[in-house]
This record gives sequence, C-alpha cells and structure tokens, in this order.
Amino acid sequence: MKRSKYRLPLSQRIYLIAILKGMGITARHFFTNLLRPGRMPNVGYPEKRRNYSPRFRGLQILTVKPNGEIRCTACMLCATACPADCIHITAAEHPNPEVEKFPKEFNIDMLRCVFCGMCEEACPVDAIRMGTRYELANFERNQFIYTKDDLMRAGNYTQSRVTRP
Amino acid sequence: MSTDVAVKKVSVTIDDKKVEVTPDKTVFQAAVEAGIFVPHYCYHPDLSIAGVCRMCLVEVDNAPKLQISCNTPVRDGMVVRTSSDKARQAQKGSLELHLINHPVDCPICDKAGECKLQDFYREFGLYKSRVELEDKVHKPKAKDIGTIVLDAERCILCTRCTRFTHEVTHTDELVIVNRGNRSELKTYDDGPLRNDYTGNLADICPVGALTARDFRFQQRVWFLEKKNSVCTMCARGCNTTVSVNPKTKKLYRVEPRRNPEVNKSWICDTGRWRYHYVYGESRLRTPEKISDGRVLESTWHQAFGEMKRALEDPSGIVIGLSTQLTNEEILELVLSFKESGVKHFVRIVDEQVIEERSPWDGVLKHRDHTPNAEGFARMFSMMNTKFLDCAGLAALVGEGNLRHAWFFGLEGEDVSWASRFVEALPEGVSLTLHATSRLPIWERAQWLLPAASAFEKSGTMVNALGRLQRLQAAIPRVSLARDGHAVAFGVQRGADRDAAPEARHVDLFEKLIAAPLLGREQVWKKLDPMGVALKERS
Amino acid sequence: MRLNLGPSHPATHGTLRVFVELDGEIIRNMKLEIGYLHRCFEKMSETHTWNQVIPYTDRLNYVSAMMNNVGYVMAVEKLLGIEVPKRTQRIRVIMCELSRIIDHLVAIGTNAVDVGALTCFWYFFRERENIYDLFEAVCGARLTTSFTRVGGLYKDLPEGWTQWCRKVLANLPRSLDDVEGLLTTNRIWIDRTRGVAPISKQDALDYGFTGPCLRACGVGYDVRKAHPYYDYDKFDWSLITEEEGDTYARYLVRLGEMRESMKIVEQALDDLPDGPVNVDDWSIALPPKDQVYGSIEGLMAHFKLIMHGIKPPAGEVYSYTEAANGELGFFVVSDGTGRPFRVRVRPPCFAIYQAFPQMCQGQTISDAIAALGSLNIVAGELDR
Repeated sequence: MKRSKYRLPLSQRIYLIAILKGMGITARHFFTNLLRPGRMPNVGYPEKRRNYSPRFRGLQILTVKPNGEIRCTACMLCATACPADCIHITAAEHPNPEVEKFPKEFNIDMLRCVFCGMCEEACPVDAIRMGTRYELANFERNQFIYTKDDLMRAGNYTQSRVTRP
Repeated sequence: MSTDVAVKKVSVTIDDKKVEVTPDKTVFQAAVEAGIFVPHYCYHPDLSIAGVCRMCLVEVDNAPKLQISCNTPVRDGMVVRTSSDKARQAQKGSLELHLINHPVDCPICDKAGECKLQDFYREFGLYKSRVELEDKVHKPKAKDIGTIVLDAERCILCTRCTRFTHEVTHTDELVIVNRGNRSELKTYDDGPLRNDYTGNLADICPVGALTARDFRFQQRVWFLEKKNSVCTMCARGCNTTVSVNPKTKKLYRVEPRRNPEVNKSWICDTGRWRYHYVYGESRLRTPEKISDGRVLESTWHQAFGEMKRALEDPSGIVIGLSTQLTNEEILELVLSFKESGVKHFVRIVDEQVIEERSPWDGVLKHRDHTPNAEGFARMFSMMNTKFLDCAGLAALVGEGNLRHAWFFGLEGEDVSWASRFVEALPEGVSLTLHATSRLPIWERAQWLLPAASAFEKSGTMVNALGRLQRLQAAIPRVSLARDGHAVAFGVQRGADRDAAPEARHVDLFEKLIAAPLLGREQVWKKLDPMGVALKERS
Repeated sequence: MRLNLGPSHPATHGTLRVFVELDGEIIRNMKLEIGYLHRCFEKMSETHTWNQVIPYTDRLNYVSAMMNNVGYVMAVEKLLGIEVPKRTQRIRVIMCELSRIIDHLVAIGTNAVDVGALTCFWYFFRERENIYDLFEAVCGARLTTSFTRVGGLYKDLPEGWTQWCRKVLANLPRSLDDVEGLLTTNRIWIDRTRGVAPISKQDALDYGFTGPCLRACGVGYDVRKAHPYYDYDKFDWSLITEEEGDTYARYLVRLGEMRESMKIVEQALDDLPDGPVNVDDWSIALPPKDQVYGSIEGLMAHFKLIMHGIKPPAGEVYSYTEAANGELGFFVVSDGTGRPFRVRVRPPCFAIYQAFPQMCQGQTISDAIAALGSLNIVAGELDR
C-alpha cells in the first residue's frame, strides 16, 4: 500500500522547537542524575542487591522443628501439586512413634523448578517454604539436584506458622 | 417343566427412579441396583448387616424419622429419597460425629487418597468444623499387630473388621472395648493377628485405622494405577487388581477384586504379599549357563541356538510344562515342540491335589499351588498328546535315551511340588529351566532362563472351580525375562534376531482356545473380567 | 533478493521468522513462519490439574502475565458456574490494568528502540520496574506471577499495598509525558511511523484484529465495553481510537490506553471492599491455613483438592477478556475428571500477525521493522 502523503505543519518541519523541547527533557534527566545520583533507579549489582518482599519466591527451605529434626512428614502433597514434577520424596518410618513418618530422601530438581510456590501452598504442615535465595548458577548439571540436607540448611531459623505442635 | 416358584418382584421408587427387586433385599441394595450411591461405612456386601455407622440414612415414605437403608427391607410401592435436604442433613451430621475425635493424621496416614472420610466429606460434608484440637479424645496409635498396623484413634467403630474376624476367618481376634467416646478397637489379647487373611482387614477398613505393613509408606495411593488380573498362587484364582506406578512402572500392591463366584471380596495373605519375588534378590534377570559349577551370564541367542541344535534329535528330549503357564503358553509350546518332533511331554504339578474342588481351610486356599491345572486338563483334547506324570518321567529316564530335559514356566519361590520332577532326572540329562527365580532346588540345572512372572504376561487360566479367567500384564518384563510365547518363537528360529510378536495370547485364544473351551467365539478384549464358568469336565 | 529475518534477530520480538522478497529495499512479498516458541501449552494442560495449568498460563503473554492468569481462571469459573467475591474481582481488575500498562510500556519502548529512540525505552522500563515491585510484593514473583487460583487468588494484598500502588501511579504520568514530548511531535518519529504499514478498517475486521491495532483503524471495539465483565461498565473510562490505522496511530492508541488504565486502577483502588478473596466452597478453593493445620475437615478438604483437583462438570465454555493485544480467549472443555480435556487459547497476536505481509507490501525493510514493533507480537502468546 502506498504511504499516505502527510504534510507536517511548518513549526514541526523546521524542527528547531521540537529539538529544544526534546533536549530539554533529556537534559532534565541528565542533570537530575548528575546532581542527585541516589535517585537513580539502578541497583549496583552485585555490590548492592534489591530488597525483595517477604513473599519472594526463591529457593525452597525445608523447615526444622525446635529439636532440630525436619518438620516434613513425607505426605507428598508438594510432589503432587508441583506442576513441573520436580520433587521426589521417599518416605520412611520415624523411630519416634509420635512422629511416625518422615522423608528419607527429599530431592528437588532445580533445573525443572519454576518457583511457582505451589509446593508451599500445598504443604499441610508448613514444612516447605519459598525462601530468598535466587543466585543458583552452577557448573555441573547434577549439582542442581538439591537434597534434603541442602534444603534444610536454611531452615533453622524458621518460626512455625502451625497452630499446633 | 419348571418347578421353581417365580419370585414376585417388588417395585421401589428411589429418587424418582423405579427399580424392581426381590422382596428379600434392603433399600440400600435396591439403591445399588438403581445406580444410586448412598454413603455408608459399616455396610459390606460380603459381611452381615450392622447398622452402626448411621450414614446411609434416607427418607422412606412418609415416616417422620429417617431410616438406615442398609437394614430396611423393601416393600412394594415404597418411595425413598436419598438426596433430599433432610437426608443430606442427616448424612452430614453423621459424618460430623464420626469426625469429632478423628486425629489430624492425613499427612502420615496411608489411606489418604482412598479414605472414605475424605471422599464423603467432599461429596456430602463441606461443613466447617466445630471442635477444637485440644478437646479431641486420644487413643493408642500405630500398634503393630503382625501384618497390620492398628491406629485406634482413626477408627470410626464401623465394626467391619470385627465382623470379618468373626464371620469370615472365624478367629474373633478383633474386639471393641469400652464404651462411648472411649470405645477402642484392639486385638483381644493385645497380640498379633493369627490368621491367613489379615490383609483383607486393610481393604475393608474405610479409614486408616487398619493399614497393611507391607505397603506402609511405600507410595501414595493417587500415584498408582490399577489393572485387573488374577492371582496365580493357588488354584482358586482369586480376582485381583494390581497397583502400578505408571511413571516407574513398578508394582506396589495386589488387592482383591470382588467376584461373588470365586473369592467374594477376599484374598489370602499369600496371594496378596508374595509378589515380592518379582523384584527380589533371587529373580533371574539374564539367561545363565552353568558349567563346571560356574554360573556364566549368557544370552537368549546362545540358549536358543543350543536348543535348536538339540532339536535335531528330538527323541532324546523331554518337555516339562508347569501348570503355572497360561493356556495360550501351554498350547503354543506343545504345538511348537510337536512340530519339531518332540514326543515326550511331562506335566509338572502335584497330582494328588489337583482334583480338589474346595478350599482346605474352608475359606479360599487350595492345596494346589498352581493356578492352571484345570486349564491344562481341559486342553488335553486340543493338544492330542500324552502327558507323563512323575512316575512316567522316571520310567522314561529308565529307558536310557534321554539327554535333555526342558522345563518351562516355573514361577515364584514356592515350587517344592516341582522338586520331585527335578530329582527324577539323573546326572547325564541336561536340564534347562525356564523359571522366574533362582532357587536351591534348581541347583542341578545346566541352563536357567528367566521367565516372565504372572504380572508380566497375559493369558487365560482355568481355576479349580472350572472358571476361565483372564490374566493381564501389569508391568513391563523385568530385565530379560520372557514368557512362553517368546521362548517358543526363539527356539523355532534357533536365534534371537527377530523380536517375538507381542500379544500372541490374543491370537491363540481367539483362534484355538475360545471355541473348544467356551463352546462359542470370544473376542479377547470382550472377555468378561469376572471370568466365564465352564461346563463340567466330561 | 530474498532475505531471512531469522528467528534470532534483535528486532523481531520473540522468535519469529520473516522471509522477505526484496526489490532493492522495497518489500515485494513476505512469508511468515511461527512456531519457534511453541511449548505445547495446550497439550501440557491436558495432563495437569486445573490449578496446575496456571503457571503455564504465565508464560503465554509473558509481558503481561497477570492477564493470562485472570483470563484462564475466568474460563474455569464460568465452567463451574461460580462467582468470585467482589474484592477478588476488584483486585483482578487492578492487576489486569497494571499488566496492560506494562505491556504497552514494552510495546512502545521496544518499538522506539527498533526505530532508534533508545531513551524512551529506559524511561518506560523504569516505570516497569516500579510496577514489577508491586507485583513482587503481592505474589512473590515479578514476571511469572501465577497470582490467581480457580475461585480466588493466591494471597490477599499485603499491608500498605494500595498506598504504594497509588504512589507508583502518581509517578507514571511523568514518564508518559516525557516520552510523549520526545516522540509524538518529533519529525523523525512521525516520518518513520506516519503512513507506515497501514491497514484499512475493513481489512482489519476481515483479518480478525482486536485490541489496540483494531482501535487504531477507527473501530471502537473493546471487550471491556462490548461485553463487560468485573464491573468494567461501572468504571469511568473511555476508549481511545485513531483513524489512520498506521504505526503512528497504534502508538497513539497505546499511549492513550495507558492513561485510561491508570484511571481504572485509581477507581478500583477507591472502591476496594473488604472480605475474603476466595470463594467459600472448599471443594473449589483451598481452605485457609489455620483450618488446614487445626481441623480434620480443613485438612481433608485440602488433601482432596491437592490430590484430585477441582472437578468441574463435563462441558465446554469460551471465555474472553481484553488483554493488552486484543481479545484473549480461553476455550476449555471439561470431561468431569480433575484434568482439562482441552484448553485452547485464542491469542490476539495470531490474527494480527497474519496481516503483517499485507501491511508491509511496497514498504521498505526499515518500515517493516518499525511496523513489527507496533503490532506488539509476543511470540509466547503467538506460538503458545
């Protein structure tokens, strides 16, 4: 289709005013950044990091009871709810009859995980939470399978949200 | 000229559906026939009526109080409403009362996924709880009573298990002691259960109070898929469902499937929990050649080659077929070897027990630990071959011409009845065994070929009651195991170059077995999952 | 000359392949190839439960993820025949309009970058960061939000979110004014975009255009006005239309729409009722966590929902919303089990993209690039 002919008004064809206006806008930004560098929106990563909200969905944490044991009872709801099928759990009998069931293995394949938070939503005992770590780069593929110990590492200082012991 | 009196049926209207039933039925059974589901816990089709759970409450005619449908006999012209507001309110109330002391155990309870409390709550409950956790009454948890784990806190006192131990096994081990909200289920002497049908308790318990220790914490139920099959541990042929995880393709449990003609809703513990040989240490995974006392891992190619070469002189070969093979496997092996010229066939079974038609313990177990002796016998005319028994085998050995003995289809670890046949063979006869497991009684074999277990093959079998039932493969063949069809195919070719055709059993059944056994045509896929009763053997 | 604007190209937004036949610099013919970002969304949804599909919907139009979430759960809720609480509706409207704003910010920003005006990109993306921070505060992720659930939302708004949102909206017009000042009366911009890749009203309707590309041709059709949902007819806002149907018109429409979206968000924030965000049916929405931890009934309902999922009755429904690019439709078919039988997405870009060859006939390559940016083709949505 032919480009339609369109005649700009003279003021715009001269283009001087538009240049000055545009430069005024960019100059304003320039001087604002020059005189008040703290107002710039850049985050100087990695020296400075963003402050994320408490709801941030990062690497999972397996929470830990006050006596140091894992809170998870291997009910496998997180593995069921996960849309990426990345959680693999093997259950075992716990020696303490009050506890009965606990996970012998709890592996999350981080190469599959999409950090959607559905595992945290599905857990009926507040055993898994989305934590704050997001720097997960690695050199080996098999290093991305996070085991129970890897995931419990950050779980020590989690207060329970469960209303019963 | 018929002499039986025609029973006059009565007409009942349930939820605006008219249904005709015999007058000895209850409203619940009439609802089942009408296809209407009424929530219930204590009713079980194979146990007596208890009427303790109060879940099956329905509105009957214009009676002011609701009636329990499981114990209300039908009357002609009765009008029943199972889903009216009043009925649903009562069902919801009963459910709430069942749950007031129920522990918050779903994460650790194995029944999650098939728990009737969960299912009925979603369908008939959905009320908000009115009980605080600290007010709940506590009872002993997770008591080990042998093959079952008893958790008295989860029990809803439906008495299905106490009725089972009273009526089915006649051992009266489970009792409910105390009263009110302190009622507790336990074994009468706090000891373990001592009958052979304990696994059924875990099936009939609608909640997680009685769970099987074999399955404890192995898998979550909703990860598993069920396949219909038949038990092959004795000649009863109890109908089963096999639960397999479709992702790992592993077998996790065997449960009974209801067949009023064969096993009702029960299966013995042997049939339920002996499947572990499929994955056990003793399972044969590759063909093994034993020479000079050393076991060498070999290949099917070599085995087939050697067998084909031996077939050049078929008069020195005796073929032994176990009654654990399916009808199709037996037929294919016999016809295939007959074509190759083999004349001597042996039927490997315990002759003394195969004519027994009823269980020796009065419930389900037969002394014949093989599933297909009857099927074997019924196919004699088709195979047109004389089968030797153990004495005949000894006589054959005595003639002195025997050089090879090939025994097929020996399955499982409970095969002591086959040892006589193995012992009858002298040193000079080379024994090739097609079996699932490596056992001490096979020590003298020269070749051990891995056989597909009953869970890995499909075919038909006839049980001791003369019922033709269908076996269906639930898991892929373990390692290099092969069934009788693949072995016959390979021996004919003498090599393992081509893959044996799959689903041979369908062809053989439809073309050669259905008509003579059933007296009519039958498509494999349409074979009744409850089996077909065959006429008396003439 | 035949030229391949291949799938990996900085100016093709997403992985699109455009095969052009050139005569010098004039385009004679163009063949389009899509599917380089096809990730089998529709097939994957057949093997997941209804709620598990939601993270997949994020990745459709990943530039405005919330709108896909809302579009999908609206379809499932229509199938179930339930209505979400008023608070949920308002929050969904706020999220959708904020998503629309960020989508238009990307569209204009990247369009400007293709033409050469890099500055506008930075100004706009600064606003995007502010809105991303809002999203992150409410659901934990900036891009792949997965915020809605069938019957409600993932979580309610946190404390202080509404004041923060108002602050962000107060800062937004300054960037819009800046970019408007830099572009709208700019002779270079007008020369590059005026009359470039025009499409007539009739052709646009024939092709099935919806959204800003259609409104730039003079057709005042917007799903929010024509088939209102979530009280869009009660808010005070107007449609932005332009007449020429070229790249410049599309730019103006998008710029205007952002201002209208801001108005809608302000009004929704003013009228945000209190109350639950999930429907009160525990066979659809998960019970609150204190019931899950503290009662057997809540725990059982929770288990049933996670194990077996929601079970809408068998049936099919087509639900449509106004996404940033046009009418985003979800056709869902249920067979009564806990998994969808079929989920079909009507991507708005699909209809728009097929008109691209016609729009670029007789224009130069540089025009084609400018036009492609103005159509806002998001490959994630186009290919699913």
